[in-house]
Formats: sequence, structure tokens, C-alpha cells
Amino acid sequence: MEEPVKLDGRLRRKLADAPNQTVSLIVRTAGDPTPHLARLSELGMQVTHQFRFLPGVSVTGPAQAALSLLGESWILSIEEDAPIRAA
Amino acid sequence: MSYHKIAPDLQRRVRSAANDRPLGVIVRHRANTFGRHTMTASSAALRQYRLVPISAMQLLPAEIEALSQDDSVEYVWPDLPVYACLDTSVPRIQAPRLWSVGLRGEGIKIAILDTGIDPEHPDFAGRIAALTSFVGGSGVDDNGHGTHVAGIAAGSGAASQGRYQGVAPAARLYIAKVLDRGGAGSMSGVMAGIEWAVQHGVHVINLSLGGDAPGDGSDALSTLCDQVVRQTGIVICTAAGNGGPGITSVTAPGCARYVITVGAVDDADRVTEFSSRGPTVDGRVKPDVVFPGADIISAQAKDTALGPVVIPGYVRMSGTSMATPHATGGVALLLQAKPDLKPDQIKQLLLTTSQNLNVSPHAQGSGRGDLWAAYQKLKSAAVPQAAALPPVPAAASGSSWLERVLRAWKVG
Repeated sequence: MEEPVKLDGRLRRKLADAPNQTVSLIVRTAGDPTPHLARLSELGMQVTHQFRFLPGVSVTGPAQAALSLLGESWILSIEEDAPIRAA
Repeated sequence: MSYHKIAPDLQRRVRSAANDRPLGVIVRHRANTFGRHTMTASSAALRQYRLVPISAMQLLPAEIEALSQDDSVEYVWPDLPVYACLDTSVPRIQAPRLWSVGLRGEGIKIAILDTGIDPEHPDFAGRIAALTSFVGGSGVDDNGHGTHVAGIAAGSGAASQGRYQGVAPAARLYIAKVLDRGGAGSMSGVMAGIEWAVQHGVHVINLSLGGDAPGDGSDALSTLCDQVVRQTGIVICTAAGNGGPGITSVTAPGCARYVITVGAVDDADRVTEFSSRGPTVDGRVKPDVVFPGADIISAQAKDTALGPVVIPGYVRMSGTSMATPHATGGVALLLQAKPDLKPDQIKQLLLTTSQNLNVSPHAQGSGRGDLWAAYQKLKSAAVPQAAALPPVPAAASGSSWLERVLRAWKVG
């Protein structure tokens, strides 16, 4: 079975091109993210919000940390904490 | 009773009213007999018009029946209340007709996630139940967008003697500031705001905001919206976006499956050029419905400069942001009429009773919302059965974990 895509190609390139840049991301997890908060912190990521209706957290931290998370089984997907504007 | 002379809705009122309670009526007389009608004790408040053979009076139910036997009387109508409205858009969607049957949003909690609100604006006096910010500072509106949106959904029109009254002027407001002074925020901030609204037990959430890129509904914000609708029964109305007229311009969270995605029409019921069009990136029809969103006059936040001032305290703005709270207010009125309606039932009511504008469904959805038609369908008990909404893709939802959270919060 094909592995679900954890990170889209555009964001992967953006993170890889500037690995030391601080980025804001939404990390979706397989189940409750609480046991993994320490791991995120260890990688230099600051959790800005832990969601209750979606297993996951929003974080800010270095781009390279996000890339190193991709191999971990509890990570479902990583996406940009995209800007939202008044419509 | 001579039924053919009495308007059907007055007949219903006569049958159900107390015997000693006068009802307001408007009577059309035969031209050559005008002025001969015998005044009764309770018709002291008679008003007689000069250009037409019509008079207005207060009569007891028995007197109305007697009047219908009078040869000098041609027809009798109920003297219905008339409300000054938020310019022309609120009458267009027929909200005042729901007000006339007592539906003004009482008991309904509306969350507005936007740039905050001016808590001192008279149009919201005593009805802001909670106010918070997810972008720092207080929830006070330093942009103007959120106050305008809140006024459309639920402003009382107090500062305009009722002229600029919102759709559900008696609803209670839960305000989360998720957009900053520049009208910008982040997905995570909006998601946090939605969860805050859920914790406050709101009935409907208004999201007059959107992302930059067209979506397929799988992003975190859209997924969270779908989870909230599905798991809690809270209705979410969200703007389609202002990326039109090109196709596939609906952004998150407008591309979410279970929200009510709202596009904009002008005063002539033409879909505005700016209103985002479907389909979504994965080929679904969006928007779901359209509401007025061009040149809408609503409340202005103090010390803000967004939109041209029309009269002190009110500005004019356009956008699907303005269309969305028309839908939100409408949902509040329908929920007051039948509080146990589920989100998919409300969505189906609005969609199946909308006015077809005969343009592409990717521009109009099902058509322009008509709240009175939705209410009539609701009253006729032709409400579609609540269907179990298909789950949000399992990989994204973590449903067993979610169920534990919901139990802890006692929602759903």
C-alpha cells in the first residue's frame, strides 16, 4: 500500500532550502499528541496550540526540525500554518 | 365568520387569540360607505386614511367576526408589525417575516471569529456574552471588519433607530479576535478560536475569512471545521472568498465539506464578480448558497477607518464576508424555531428553499437564500431526516482520541 504523503513537495523544498529558518507549522499526529510534546521540544519546536478536535499541534521552530520529524511513525502530516485573511 | 372577507392569517389569529385581547386590523371599506362603519368600544385607536377607503383599528376577535358580516366592509387584514431593516439586504432574504412570528434569535449563541468587536457600539448593548483574542491584546476591534460582520448577523440597529438592524438582532454574541489590526491571522489561530467557541456551547459559528490558495478540504482548518460540525452539531457558516470570477477559487475553510459556504450577490441578485467560484480542487460544488454581500451597511467600530461612513456609527462594505453573516443570522432564526435541527438539516433547508438565479452552481450554489421559504418548509414538517455525516478521512481525524476529548468536554 502506498504511504500517505506527510509533506507536500512545495513545502518540503521550502524547508530544505532554508533549514535554519523559523517556520510556523501544523503537525497532525496519529492520536493524542501529548506523549510527543517532549520530542518536539527536544528538536527546538515550540508548541503554540494543542488542538482538541484534530489530533495535532501548531508549532514554531527551525525548518530542519520539521524535516527530521518525517521519519517518525506518530507523525501523520505536516503543513504550513497558512495565513488567513478577512474575506 | 364570512371567511372570504378575512385574510387567512387573520383568521388563524382570531381563532387562537384570547377573547378579551384586541388585535390590530386593517379594514378596506366599500368606497361609497366609507366612514359609516359604527365604532366599537375597543376600536378607539381608529386611524382613517384619506386617499384610500381604508382604516386601521384594534378589535376584539368577536368584533372582527361581526365586522366580516358588515356589508360596508370589503376585506380585513391583520395589521402586521413593520421593522426598519439593515438597508435592503435583510428584507431581501425575508428575515423580517421571521421576526413578525417572534423569531429574532433569542436564546441562540452566535460566535463571530474575526477582527473582534467594538463592545461599546449600541447595536450590541448587553448581548456580548464573551470576548477574547487569539492574536494578542484584547478582543476589541481595531480593524472594523469584525464589528461590521457582527452587525449584519446580530446588530440591533439601536444607533440608527432600527434602520440598520441585523438578521438575528436578539442573539447573544461570542466574539473571538483571530485576525489582527491588518485583518490577517493564521490557520492555527482560527482553529483555536473555533475550539474556544465550542467550549462556550455556541450554536453557530461565523467565519468571514479564508486562506490564499484554492483547497480540497483536506487542510487542517477545513478538517477541524468538519469534525466540529459532525461531532458537536454546531453549524459553521464560512465565506467562499473573494477570489472570483475565476473558477476553483474557493479557499479554506470554504472548501470544507460540512460547513455552509456562502458566496455573494448584489441588490439585483447577480452573483458578484469577486465571489469565489467552485468547484473545489477535488471537484465538489461550492459555494453552497449565496446571500447579499455588496454595499452592505452595518456597524462601524470606533476609531477604525475601514469602509466609507454612511451615517455616524455605520459603514458600507462588500465581500463574501458580508454575505456569510446573513446566513449565520438566518441559521440562528431557524434554530430558534426548532432548536433540535442538525447542521445537515439546516444546510438542506437553506439549500432546497433558495431562489434559483439560473447561473452556474459553481457561482450560486443552490441559489440565493430565502429565510421565509426555509421557515415555511420547516413548519410544514418537510425537514429532511438528519443523515449521519460520513466521517472525515480517518487518517486525519483520530476518531477514538476525539471521542475521549468530547466526553471530557461533555459535547457531541
